[in-house]
Amino acid sequence: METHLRSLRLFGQNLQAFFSQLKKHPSAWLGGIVILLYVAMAIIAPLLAPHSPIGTDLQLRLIPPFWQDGGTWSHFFGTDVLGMDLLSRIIYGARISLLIGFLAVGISVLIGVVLGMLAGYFRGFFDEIISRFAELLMAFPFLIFAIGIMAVLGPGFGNLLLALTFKGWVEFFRLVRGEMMVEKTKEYVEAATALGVSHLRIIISEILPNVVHSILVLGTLRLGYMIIMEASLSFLGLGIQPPTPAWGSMISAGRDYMMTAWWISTIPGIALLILVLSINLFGEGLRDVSDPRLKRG
Amino acid sequence: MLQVKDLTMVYETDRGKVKAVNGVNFSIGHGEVLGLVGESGCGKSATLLTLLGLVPYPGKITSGEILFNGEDLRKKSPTEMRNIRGKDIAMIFQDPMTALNPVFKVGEQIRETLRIHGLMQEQKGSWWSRRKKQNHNERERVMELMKEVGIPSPDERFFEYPHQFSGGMQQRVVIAIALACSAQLLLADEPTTALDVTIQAQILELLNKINRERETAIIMVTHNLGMAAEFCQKIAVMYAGEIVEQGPTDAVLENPKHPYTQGLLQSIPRISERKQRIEPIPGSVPDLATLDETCAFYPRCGKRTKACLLKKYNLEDLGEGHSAKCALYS
Repeated sequence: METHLRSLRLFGQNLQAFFSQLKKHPSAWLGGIVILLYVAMAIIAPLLAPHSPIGTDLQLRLIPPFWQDGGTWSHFFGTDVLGMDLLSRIIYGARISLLIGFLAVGISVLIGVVLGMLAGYFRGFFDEIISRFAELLMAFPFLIFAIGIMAVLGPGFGNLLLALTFKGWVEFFRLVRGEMMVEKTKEYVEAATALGVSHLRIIISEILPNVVHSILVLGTLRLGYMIIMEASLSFLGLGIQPPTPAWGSMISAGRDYMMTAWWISTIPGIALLILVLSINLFGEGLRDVSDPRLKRG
Repeated sequence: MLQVKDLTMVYETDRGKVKAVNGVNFSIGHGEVLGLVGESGCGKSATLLTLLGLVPYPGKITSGEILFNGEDLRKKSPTEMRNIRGKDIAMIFQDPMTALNPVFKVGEQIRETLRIHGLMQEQKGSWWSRRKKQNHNERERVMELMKEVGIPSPDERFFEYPHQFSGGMQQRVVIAIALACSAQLLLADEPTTALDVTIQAQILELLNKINRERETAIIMVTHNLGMAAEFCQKIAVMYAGEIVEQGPTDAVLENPKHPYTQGLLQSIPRISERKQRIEPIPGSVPDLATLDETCAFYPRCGKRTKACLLKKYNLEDLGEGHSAKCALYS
């Protein structure tokens, strides 16, 4: 019993050490809090949004935000061309952005890590094939590639996810494959082999814990990128279609009115900016903190 | 217990075949300590890895037998080999700093060996109670092992990470892992090279104790003749993948027969004889890819004759288990 307690206490201490390390990076701390706020906002969107995100009312179109002349408190950030409430749409739009971002990164990590570990560990023909294919994908700019796929498949949630992950896994594959090749030559792997540990077990329970921090960091940084990509595709009309609220298509919808109603494009843009900036700050901080090999003491 | 017969391991490179282990013969009985001595790159470590069936890429065993308790390890399937590794034959590595996985607690790493080989498994009771019992037993066993290899307050250090250990303590952990399944044979690949001198002595003393108390046979690879002299009962001197001389430690070191062994001994400074110059062996280890069948030491040998180039010489018995591979004795 006592050993269990000690084990638990050690875990607590490690957690504490992690957070106290993180506190030394105020930007990462701030980023983390903002991300949490966004996630909370997306989850309880129906409770927060004052109006329906897709309800149009042509009598209320192009109302400016509350601080401008003609603005009202009931439409905090104003309304767009069709009279939809911007604040409500931004709140609901966080759902799309975060969902697409997390799913795209999650699937990419899954594919990339599995293939990368196998290729990096076993090498040989399998590695050749996958690596050449990955290099082929690397040769296309991400956005152009995604536009191509979306143009062929047509817009939609599933297709958007496919377009983002089709190339998204390559980054993780290359990272994990490289790390794998480095770790594989380390003596602890040789030692595990000499102890009679099977290949699969070496990959999963010996090497993976040693590379998981880099996957985590890259995953966080890619999350911001994926969200931008989704917004870009939606902006181009290839992603999430109106009236479903997505920040990209909201920015796009407002671009004809930039001179008369700047808020339609600008405010969703700022929401996007703050989220991606926070994710990147958090990712940077995580990179400094989470590497167990840099920790001493 | 372990008998190696005519073992040859070849690296197939673009430049041709490199015989890293070339027709090696030796044997070791229960409780014996054998030292494999030689310069860097002479095939000592390759021999050890080959014994475990872990031939480094692009190596291949081309001939020979590895008889372990009468069974040829070369004929074992990969799964059977995996069960032998760590359980019957365990390895101690040169650099404990890198031989331990940096992200796991030390105790867990020792315990893993017990897990892999399915030791301490409980049969009775429900799944939950079995698991609990097994966890408890394993932990007790790990503490015992840590105590045995001289890690103080094991119940605290069980939960620490490798980087919180000093080099000597890390090597003790590596030894504890090797001992976990009570292996009959330990392969020690320069176990003290990465440690400082005082710690070296402690680790050697520990290995000595294990050898005495558990009757574990040890094959120790080293390039330190002094250490081999103190620690081993038998010595095999390797050069360019071949064993050039072997025999009881005293015989080999006091009465070296092969010119290479003589050269090695002369290149050690002695305290007793003052002002004597150290005689280094001229030249360096030859490129193994370019060797033919004749003596590999020929270009560096001070006693070479025309007879050296005539044919391939085998280990010649010189009495009392002492043998050497040289034209001088055949």
